[in-house]
Amino acid sequence: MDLTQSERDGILVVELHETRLESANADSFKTRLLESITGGHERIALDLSRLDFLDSSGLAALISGLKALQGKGEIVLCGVQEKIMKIFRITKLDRGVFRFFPDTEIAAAALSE
Amino acid sequence: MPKGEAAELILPAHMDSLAPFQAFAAEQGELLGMSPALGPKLDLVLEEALVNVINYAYPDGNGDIRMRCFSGQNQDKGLVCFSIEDQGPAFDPMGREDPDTDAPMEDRNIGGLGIFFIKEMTETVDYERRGESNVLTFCMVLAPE
Repeated sequence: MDLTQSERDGILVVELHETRLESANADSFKTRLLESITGGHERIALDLSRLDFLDSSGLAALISGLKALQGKGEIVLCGVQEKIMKIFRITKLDRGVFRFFPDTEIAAAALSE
Repeated sequence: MPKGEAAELILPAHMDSLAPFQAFAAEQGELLGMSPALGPKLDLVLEEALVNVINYAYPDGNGDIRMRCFSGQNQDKGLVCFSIEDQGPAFDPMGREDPDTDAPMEDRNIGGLGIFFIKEMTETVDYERRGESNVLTFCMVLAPE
């Protein structure tokens, strides 16, 4: 799983370098995400701008992260391409579940409020 | 609904077969006049359907998947159709309830999204137990408006 993590004002910024989040790598991504959450990170800005394919496994990994937070924090998604947004719309995960931002800088500012 | 001759590809039910199946489907779809705009949807539907078979149809890891591609018709709409066949135990993915997309996050199930995507992104989808085979057939409108 190719990703980088950095911290900005107490917010974990995760930059996913993969173009596909799918059955082949979703478990590995989920493990990394859950490790961050169990490590104490509750506000996470996830940069998905490189992503051009997301399947149900990838989506399930994101939902697992959200569930692991148990309502105590937030995972926001950044730079999501239009074709990937369709997946979130179909599953209504764009309605009060995930917030979406153009980039991690704007997301981090919103999470700091 | 299906009409005409079908092109066919049989490969082992392994993750390595996923990309060749997707390439075959894209190529055959194009030959049948499928809009290139359908490519990402088709990729997703195939991934969901094939990974399901690869993960669950053959517990001992040995078995094949047969994919067929053919044209179809639904009223005045031309369709491109794909069937995915395995010889695993009977499994009707259509028998599962759709995930409740209106449920609050704490009540949402993590699984069950794959077949939901297939239903949402295709014009028709049908399951049939044919002899010793599971056959999942789905069709997409060749050139959606």
